[in-house]
Amino acid sequence: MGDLVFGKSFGTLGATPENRDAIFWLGRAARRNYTIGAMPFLHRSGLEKWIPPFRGLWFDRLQYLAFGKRQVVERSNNTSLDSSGRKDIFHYLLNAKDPETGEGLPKGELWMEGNTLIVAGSDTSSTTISATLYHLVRNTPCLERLAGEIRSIFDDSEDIRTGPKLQACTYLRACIDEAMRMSPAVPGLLPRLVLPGGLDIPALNLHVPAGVDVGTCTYAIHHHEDYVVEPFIYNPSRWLQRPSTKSHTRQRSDSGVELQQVTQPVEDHKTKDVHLNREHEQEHDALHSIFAPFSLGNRACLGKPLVYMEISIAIARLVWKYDMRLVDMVPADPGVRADVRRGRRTAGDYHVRDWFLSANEGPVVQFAERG
Amino acid sequence: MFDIVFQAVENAAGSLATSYIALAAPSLVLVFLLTASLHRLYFHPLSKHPGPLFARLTPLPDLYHAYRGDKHIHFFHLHNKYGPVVRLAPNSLSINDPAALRAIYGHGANVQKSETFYHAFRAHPAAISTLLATEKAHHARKRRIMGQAFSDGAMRDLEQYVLKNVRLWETEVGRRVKVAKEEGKSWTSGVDMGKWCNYLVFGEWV
Repeated sequence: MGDLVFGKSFGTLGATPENRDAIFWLGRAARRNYTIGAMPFLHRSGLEKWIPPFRGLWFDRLQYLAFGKRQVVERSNNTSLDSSGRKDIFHYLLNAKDPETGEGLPKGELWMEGNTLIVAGSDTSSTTISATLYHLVRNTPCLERLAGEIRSIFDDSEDIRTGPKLQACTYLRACIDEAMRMSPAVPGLLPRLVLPGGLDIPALNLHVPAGVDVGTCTYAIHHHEDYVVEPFIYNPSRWLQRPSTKSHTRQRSDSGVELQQVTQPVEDHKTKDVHLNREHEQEHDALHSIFAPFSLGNRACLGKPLVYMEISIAIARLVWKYDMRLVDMVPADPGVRADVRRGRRTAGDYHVRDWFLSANEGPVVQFAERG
Repeated sequence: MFDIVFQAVENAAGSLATSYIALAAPSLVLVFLLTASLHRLYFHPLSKHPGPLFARLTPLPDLYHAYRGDKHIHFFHLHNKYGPVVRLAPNSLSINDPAALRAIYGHGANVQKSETFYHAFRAHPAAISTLLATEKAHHARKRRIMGQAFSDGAMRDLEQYVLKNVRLWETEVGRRVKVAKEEGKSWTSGVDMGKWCNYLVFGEWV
């Protein structure tokens, strides 16, 4: 992602311990922001600098902000990169002009864009690739089926790049979407402030008054039993079901997802064309109605096409070349272990800590030459 | 302001007034807490929505779960217990329903990003990124710029760098497979792919 955002990998700056620390700081900064976001009073009053657990987070976040700033300053000074014609993401930010004033982005905004891009563009992709690998090596029939698809479509691993062939890998896409359903990289709730006039949700007979924060938790809705059959089972086949025949008349939202909700996904399927549902009982429209790993609307993730590109290429090439198997490990995170013991978390899930982004561990995988 | 108070206290020192203040201050705090609690439980616009008592009274449970990093798990269980609409903090609702997903996040929704939450991410008040912009017009301006960086054409330019990093990844795996083979084993020792995925996206091989 250093390559994509700043036109160079962070590593080529010299693999200094500082650069390795950046990943650690980034996680701490996210945790600090997420925590303070729940109670901004701690920041406004300055208390966060004095209460022990918050103080450490506050300090590590400063380190991360400084790291981000160094990347941005270095990139801004590197004009040779622009003249070379290489267009990283920062190229567009540095050359943006306000249509009215003709001025570029203010320095503070450039700095924060850099910080945000490192988190939003790197860490989320990393979590999603890890999660996809985890679910695949843990569910060997899925991995075998995926390997079959990738190896029959591509004759050489160097052919694996964006194009019609990669598009044709429908099971690959299903494996990725199913991993994002079970382990969304931003699993929490992104709060929205209701503006004057309030917000009506007729389907729930609900009026949310102005001035209130409201949102939907991605992880919770991705595991909603009324819409997802066996929500804690990883099964990419559920993504291969076709839309119900009724859907011809339905309007599509701009994100391409069915607008109308389906209320009886479970009872309905048995009467439908058996050929459509021979692989999984999942109702297509119900599944798509709850799927929002990139959020929706005009605040939806901009990096979606980039993420699909990165993950598809990374997973497809690994699977094409190597066989993989999981080394079973108990989660190292004591908090996660305690939650599993108490039944709050499902054993065998890809466990993350939700700090806006996800703090994840593993999977530990063994490789062998493809058989 | 404080001078006056101090002076007043000093003047009254040794007199009955001190004990009055000593009694009045905690009582005032108590009265304030009681009124605030009553308001949040019975008169607040969200008072009719269910949720844990402590969450309806203070943002502290939300703070605790944010710090612990299990908000997603917590919300999942809250909705199982209380239904589709839950009051997760005095002034916040979580709604677990696809209709709400569209109504809240879809185009044209009468909302903006929460200032309470997203302002906490800013390094200083003017350090605003596209992700963090709460004001709608400001976000629209920034989004237009950022949109260019993620256009189809831009993606094509970027693919070579993704490929470069994935090839590095494969080379590292390949090296381990070779080592295992030389030792007469078909499987490599375990590789922590969580770490490797970080290396992949950060382009950092150390």
